[in-house]
Amino acid sequence: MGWKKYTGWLFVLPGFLGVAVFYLIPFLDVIRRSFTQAVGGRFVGLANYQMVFENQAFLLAAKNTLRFAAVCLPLLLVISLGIAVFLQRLETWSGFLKGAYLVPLAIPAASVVLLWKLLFDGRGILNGLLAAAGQPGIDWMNTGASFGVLVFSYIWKNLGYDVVLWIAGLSMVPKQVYEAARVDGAGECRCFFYITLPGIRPAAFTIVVISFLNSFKVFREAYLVAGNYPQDDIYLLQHLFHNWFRELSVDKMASGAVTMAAVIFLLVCLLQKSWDKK
Amino acid sequence: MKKRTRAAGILLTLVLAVTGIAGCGDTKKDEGNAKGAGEEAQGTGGQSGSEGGGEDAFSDGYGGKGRFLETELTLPQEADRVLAAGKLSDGSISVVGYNSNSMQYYLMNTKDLGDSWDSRAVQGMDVFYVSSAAIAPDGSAVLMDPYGEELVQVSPDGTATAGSLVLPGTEGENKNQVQQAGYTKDGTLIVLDIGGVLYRADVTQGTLEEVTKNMPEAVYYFGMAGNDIVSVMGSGVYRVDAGSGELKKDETLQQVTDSSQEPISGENSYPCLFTAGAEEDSTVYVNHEGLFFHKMGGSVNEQLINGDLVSLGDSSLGFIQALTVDDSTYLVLGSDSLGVPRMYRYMYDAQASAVPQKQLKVYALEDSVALQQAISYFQKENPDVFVKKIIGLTDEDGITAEDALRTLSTDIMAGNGPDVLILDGIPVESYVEKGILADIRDLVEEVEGEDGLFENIKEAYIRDGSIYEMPSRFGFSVVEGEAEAVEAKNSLEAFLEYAKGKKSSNADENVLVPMSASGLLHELYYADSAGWRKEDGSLEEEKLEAYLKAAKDYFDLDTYAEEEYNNSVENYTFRFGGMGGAASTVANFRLILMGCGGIGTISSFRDVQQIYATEAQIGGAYDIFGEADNGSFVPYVSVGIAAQSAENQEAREFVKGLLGKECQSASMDGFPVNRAAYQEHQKNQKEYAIGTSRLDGTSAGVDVKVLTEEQANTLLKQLESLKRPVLTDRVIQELIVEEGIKYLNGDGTQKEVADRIMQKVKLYLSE
Amino acid sequence: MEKWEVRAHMHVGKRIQKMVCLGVLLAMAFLSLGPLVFLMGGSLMGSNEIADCIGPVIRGGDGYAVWRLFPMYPTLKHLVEVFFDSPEFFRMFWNSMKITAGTLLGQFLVGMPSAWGLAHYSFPGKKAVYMLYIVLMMMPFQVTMLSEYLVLDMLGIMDTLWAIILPGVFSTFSVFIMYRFFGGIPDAVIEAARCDGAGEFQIFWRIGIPLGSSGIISAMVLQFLECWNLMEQPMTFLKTKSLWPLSLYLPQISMEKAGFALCASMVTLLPALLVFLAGSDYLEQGIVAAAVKE
Repeated sequence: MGWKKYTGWLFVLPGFLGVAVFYLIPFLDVIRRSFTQAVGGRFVGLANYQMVFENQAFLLAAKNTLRFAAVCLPLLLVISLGIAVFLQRLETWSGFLKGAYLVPLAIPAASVVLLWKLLFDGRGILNGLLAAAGQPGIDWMNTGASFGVLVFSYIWKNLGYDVVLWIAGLSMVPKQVYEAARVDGAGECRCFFYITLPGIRPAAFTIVVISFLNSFKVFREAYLVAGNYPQDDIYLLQHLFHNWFRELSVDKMASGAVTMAAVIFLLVCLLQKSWDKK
Repeated sequence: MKKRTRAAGILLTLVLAVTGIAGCGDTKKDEGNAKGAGEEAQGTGGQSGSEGGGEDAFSDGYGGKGRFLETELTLPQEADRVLAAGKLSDGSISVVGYNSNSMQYYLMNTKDLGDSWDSRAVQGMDVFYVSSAAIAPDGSAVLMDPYGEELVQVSPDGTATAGSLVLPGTEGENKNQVQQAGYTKDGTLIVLDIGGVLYRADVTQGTLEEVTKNMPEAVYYFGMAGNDIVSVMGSGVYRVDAGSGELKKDETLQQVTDSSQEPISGENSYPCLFTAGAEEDSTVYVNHEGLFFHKMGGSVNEQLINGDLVSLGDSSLGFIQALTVDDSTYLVLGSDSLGVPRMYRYMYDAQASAVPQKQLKVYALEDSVALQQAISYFQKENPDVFVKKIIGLTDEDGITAEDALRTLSTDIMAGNGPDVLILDGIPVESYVEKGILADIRDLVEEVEGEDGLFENIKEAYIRDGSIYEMPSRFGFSVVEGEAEAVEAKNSLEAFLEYAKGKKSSNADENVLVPMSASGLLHELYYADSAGWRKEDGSLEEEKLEAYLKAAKDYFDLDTYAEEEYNNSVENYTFRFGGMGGAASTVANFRLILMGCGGIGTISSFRDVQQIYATEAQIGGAYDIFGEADNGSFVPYVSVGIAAQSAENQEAREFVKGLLGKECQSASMDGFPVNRAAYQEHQKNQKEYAIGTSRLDGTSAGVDVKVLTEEQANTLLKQLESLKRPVLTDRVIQELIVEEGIKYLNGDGTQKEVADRIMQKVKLYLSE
Repeated sequence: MEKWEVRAHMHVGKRIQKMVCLGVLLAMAFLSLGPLVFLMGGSLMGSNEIADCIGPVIRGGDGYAVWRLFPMYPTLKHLVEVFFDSPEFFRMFWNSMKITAGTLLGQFLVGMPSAWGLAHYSFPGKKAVYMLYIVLMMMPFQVTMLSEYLVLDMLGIMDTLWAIILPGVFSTFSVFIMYRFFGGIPDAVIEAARCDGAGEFQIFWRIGIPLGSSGIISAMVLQFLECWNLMEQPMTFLKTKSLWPLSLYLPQISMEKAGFALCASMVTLLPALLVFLAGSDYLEQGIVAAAVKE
């Protein structure tokens, strides 16, 4: 009996060893580096962290990264949920629509970048349309609008994915419950808030985690479109890590990364806790 | 139904997986083969390879002596594409080249194995697309289009006579095509058509005759070995007698090349090259594994040159022609992945150890003539060291400096970093702070003791008693123009005040010489940036803003017609890669009456000579930009040694070589920091004449003279007065130029763009 | 009577509402599909037409870029160029194939059992492993790049395709996805099998994989897209340019050759799109299953 509770490990172990070698050990190494000098490896305690927390660029990048997550996550979740609710009731178009929303996921970053450059350039297609409508052009990538562009490109890319996830969650709510509620005279809104929302709560955890994960991936587009020193609002932590590494500031990079990991860990824990509670 | 699609899905996944894994396996196998071949043949290597390869050679190092050493030949600049090479009966070598700008074909001949070239434009030829070319032993050449319809024979003096060829099966929809051409030792032209049939051709008659009816199968491509055609076919490699058509089978030769590799159509390069060996009945072949010798009937292919140790191993090199000069000299013509012609000479050095014992890694963000010279100089002196040159930014792969520097960072952190670093464009401040660079003061002073150095330049690089970086060359910014302009040299503000004042008195006259946006931004950066950095390392933002404003004012002051303006663009694209002084171009523009003055750099005696020559004719002067005794210099090819290689004797030797007299005398890019080399430069001034035409059509010319003693003394004093380097921060310079071009061209309001540049620079500085 | 009227009115209102919603959804679908149409059109345009369209972006100056959904003078020139005149394109295409296939196969062998183990067994440390996987999954590549480089260097696989494939094989993301959907298989089914005397591995093989095949495929499709678009890893871990995958080919093409770039994009995108279309049903089902748990 004793070994039986370890059966699961047999399945997990091969994968876990690989994960340990390729992800865990490197990550632990990063933690170690966050307490040492960039070159030479002398232990410096928390000096690196102090340096990072006093660094204006880090504060800006951290603020932007959080702001980005705080804006785009709820936006994506709400829009995709709305679409999912509607699609679920739609008979004719839903297959096509779902397929269409998923397409951006398949388009390579480099192609997206090419497109964004043509769209959002000062002399790009969008400004051309604005000009045709008699409006002044917007310098998309060099003003606060760049943040909007980034949010847009995140939602554009991940919408279909989230819609499908929500539809999955929605399909778990038994139809009979709705019918019973309607018989009791509950309206659409009441149904949504008292049946749908609690019903999809289990699915929401996965969706939030995956969407959060994907929000980091938007860096690739941002970097390829706007370079390593973009407009202030879209200067993300990854830009900073990139640049720090170029200058060999591995110490700062490591402690910045550990800070970021800690925050992510905390957020995921909180999320999990709040889900477990109910 | 569902089930079927699901099965299809899994199948798809599996098929993908299997093809992929099979593919991986193949690569491994290939590598295995390559290694096997390397071990089999007793490797005699070469040296001075570029990036990639090399390491393997060290594991099986044995102590023997004698090896082929590689020299990269400099082909005449006219040719940006090469088509064929040939050894003539008089022993000289000829190459057919093409210049895509002038659409001109050239015959280039060298009598000293590629050290000097004599090139002749092909005359009397209607330009058409030449797909195949060949050089006959008498020095004539044949050029033809894919169908053999347009064809010229070019005599050794460059005169073209039209000829033609009618390939069998040329009528109808699918025209037959010429795939390759070559000459036998007797001067018979051999042509291969697209169907893989070999012909003897007579271009004056326009006739073709099949070499043999007995070919077992279609020929993919061939190489000429004397009067034999070495033909590559699916079943292997055969030698075919061009005259009799007799097939000479040879088991060992037959297996030479992976015959599944067909040449890529439309490119005149081949997976493997064949030529005659120095002995009777022998074949030499070249591929990425190296250069091999095969005696007909023999059972081995002897590896003479190990591809890993020379440029041949670079898989992006396309092979065009191999030539055997004698048993100790071989030439290989090829083109790199950009299609840029490359030619290598391999000469046997009995003193070199068979395999270089040591390796020295030299890193530079960008390649430069000065670095190439330093490497070949070092190789000559130290044939036992394999110099691995690592260039971060190569044109072909779209890598940015950012990516390159990050890769360098990873290598350094992993302990695989270079021994010697060319620090141009590298964040030196950060490297010094992190302790990446070694103190080379003793070394610099050793050179100083031998040849003398410009102390002022050296002094500028002493920090806390140590020197971590030392430029090997330098230039400086001047104002060139009429007396009033030169008087206004103290600052950009003063200079623009002069220019605006002059403009207001005569609005129709052009005051400043035309400069392209990027040229202007670079030149003004070199002139002004030395004073931007504060004591504590931060940047004086007001100065940067003032610079941007000055650049804008400068750019907007005069209105040049589009075509006048376009002329300036090329001249002013002054980059770190190849110090070309802009000040002499300023003088030249004044000569053709465009503008009264301008700001630019001087980087060689040639520049100064040209300026004085111009001024002798139209008056004017030049002086160092900036306040008196506060001039700045532009460092070029700065060198440093990695701290982990501080004790590395080779690295120290290399740096000493780079700063030493011989190396510094050779290249004219920038003034040498080495005083002895400076004397050489001064001694080697040439006199020549320049002719240009003015806008109104009249011609103008100057006779460039050797500097008088007085002029030379003035120059020397000027050079000795330079105290500070300009701000060498690639990130800032790139941000400024990139955004500044938009600023000057008037995209967006001025305030906006200036603010944006400042925002980015601030962001960078706050990191 | 009055009540009826109200209801009829409501119906009309609802229908309008529904039409509006559908309109919005279709517009969004157009936004999603737009780039695809754009790429297709662009890949059939000649250089001159493209230069006409997007000249203002590339060269600056007056006017704005415009775009035509359908080329006025369609040509296959760029397509021919991509297929026949760019040997490096094919080399990189095969590299991409190798990387993707190797990663997928590896995940099939390693990631799948991991997910199964996490989903259907309780064992000491399970919770910790699960949390660890999520956190590692969230780490941007830049963070561990240097340390990963050191590990790969130590293993001696730097500058080989394995340096890309092996870390991909152990990506925790697909474990996370598969875990979610394996969890959707009711414990009762497994218990029943166990009662019939099936071994643990048999249960996995006979029940886990078949019942979860759609989920496995969906994870594979997602991973395919991920591998196909890898950029940072190959750029950092592969020095030999001849090993580079296709995803690094596109950024190399300058804007001046936009026509060629669009065409190459299109060809790059095709395999991903094909896999995606072939797998999209399963992607959906898999995602459905993934969302079911908890």
